[in-house]
Amino acid sequence: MKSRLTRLPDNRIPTTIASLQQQIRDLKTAQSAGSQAVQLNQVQSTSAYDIQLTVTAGTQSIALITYTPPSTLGYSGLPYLGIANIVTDSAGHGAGTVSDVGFTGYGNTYMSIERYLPTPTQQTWQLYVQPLPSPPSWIQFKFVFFAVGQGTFSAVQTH
Amino acid sequence: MSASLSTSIHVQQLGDNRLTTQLAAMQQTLLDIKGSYQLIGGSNVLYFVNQTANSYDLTGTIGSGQTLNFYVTATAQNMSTFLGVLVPYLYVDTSTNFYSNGQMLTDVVGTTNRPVTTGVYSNPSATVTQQQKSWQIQLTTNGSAPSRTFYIKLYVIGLDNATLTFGSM
Repeated sequence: MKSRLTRLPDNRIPTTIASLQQQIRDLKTAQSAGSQAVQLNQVQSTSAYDIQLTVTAGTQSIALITYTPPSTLGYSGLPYLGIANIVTDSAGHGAGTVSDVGFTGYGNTYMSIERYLPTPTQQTWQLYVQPLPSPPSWIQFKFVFFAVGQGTFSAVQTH
Repeated sequence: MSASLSTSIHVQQLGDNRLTTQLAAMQQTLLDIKGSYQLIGGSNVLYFVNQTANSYDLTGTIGSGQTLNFYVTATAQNMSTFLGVLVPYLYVDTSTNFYSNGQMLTDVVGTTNRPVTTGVYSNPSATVTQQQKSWQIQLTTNGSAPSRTFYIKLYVIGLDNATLTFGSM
């Protein structure tokens, strides 16, 4: 008995396989442009704050913030930096609104964050705190990153 | 594929419609996958640093007490929804004298009377597609500051190659 397979019209199976191959190629193309499906992960520490900046009247304080993705591919794991919370010894606390590039007055200081061009393996920012008269003696910052993938970060006072 | 089809005897022994049914099912699965979003988000996803070939993209003179506004729009080459961030580098007086936010704050509270303050916002007046992202850059000097020459080099870090357009607002 002839199976239905052999009774299929000529080229039916090769045509179907060719269609599958085309769809797989399309799928590969679509993945590179599947931007509406990019997922961002929230990356933050479990600490109450990530850095306590010492503030001295008349002197600008600077913190260097470095984000490192686990991948070693280079230029991967794009992060966005936000300030989750600010606490000072004198001016209370609240959700941070330190502006990117512009500056924000907060707790008798001016603050600003500056993002720099990435290296293949890291992203860096500098957080500037310019004291006004009667500034707090310290300010604690808690950071939150929204990143493509996961990563780790550090924050150190450099000035 | 070639391994499973390598012996015609084996194929011939398949039940009626077995192979065509399986192929049709595979075809439908692929169609379903194509029709839905492919969730990506691992740290292996690469990003691109987009810029023009220019040493600087915006330049001019800002006078005493003046505010200038510029727009920057990035258009993704492939992504239907562009995810990216603008990183402008500001230079003042010369095209190589980088003007950091730290210097800006020092000048704002200092006695040098020469602050140039900058702000970057989402461009409120732009009509952009999802494939684009647009920002407004604002430069401001205080009323007693002298005229300053400025230069801005634009970088857009995003998940796709993008072309940059920019100008005065």
